[in-house]
Amino acid sequence: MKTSIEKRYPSNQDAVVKAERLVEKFTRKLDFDEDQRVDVAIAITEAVNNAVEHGNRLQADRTVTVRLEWRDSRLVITVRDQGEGFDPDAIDDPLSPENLTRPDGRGLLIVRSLMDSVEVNPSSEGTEVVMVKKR
Amino acid sequence: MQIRHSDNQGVAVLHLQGKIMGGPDATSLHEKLHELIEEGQLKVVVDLEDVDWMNSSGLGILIGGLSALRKSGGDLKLASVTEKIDEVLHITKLDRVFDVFGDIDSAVESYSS
Repeated sequence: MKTSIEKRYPSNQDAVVKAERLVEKFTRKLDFDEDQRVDVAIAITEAVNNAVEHGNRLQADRTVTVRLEWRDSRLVITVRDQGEGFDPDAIDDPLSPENLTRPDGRGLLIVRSLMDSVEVNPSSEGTEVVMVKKR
Repeated sequence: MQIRHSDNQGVAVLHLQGKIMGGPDATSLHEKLHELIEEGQLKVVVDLEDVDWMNSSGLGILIGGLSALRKSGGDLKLASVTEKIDEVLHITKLDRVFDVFGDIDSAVESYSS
């Protein structure tokens, strides 16, 4: 199988569904177990949703790029948007009591818990999120 | 995601099925919960037995429904939570916000106690 694949999606909610299908197919071929596949599926939907909504702010002329790579027994997922750059430290702590019942703000927390490593690299040309899952 | 609605001793039970990841699916769940509130059905149980997994968008809809129901004097309780959803509830500390039950009957009966 191909050890890497890259796709570009328009900034709408279909991108979340399409990216999830892409990663599900990729992790099945790599023989990830079901628990790992679900972790990765949740993580990519969080990252692409953030890229579409908070990065690209649903602007039709901006795209989200998803890259999946298999190297050294690790799945490396890169999600890039074309927004102004997203500062992860600016997010309110979703675990503090006053934020517990807020409907949003939990995506990155969940990704960090389910994946083996997560990097958020903001720049003026957009934000890149790199997530790694070991098999 | 699919939603099926049933009534159990005057409690509205929403049986969800599939993956809950936001987009149109989340919108239909949001609309269903608000439809119940408008109809005055304020005791709600969400059955998650057939939900493969849920991300933060799905949790957000459930939290929104819970807040709206509690404001109206009702509640939203979770039943038959799968291991993965339990893990996500624990990560986000939402297991402290929702009342979680092992099965639908226990969740429904909790409204009588």
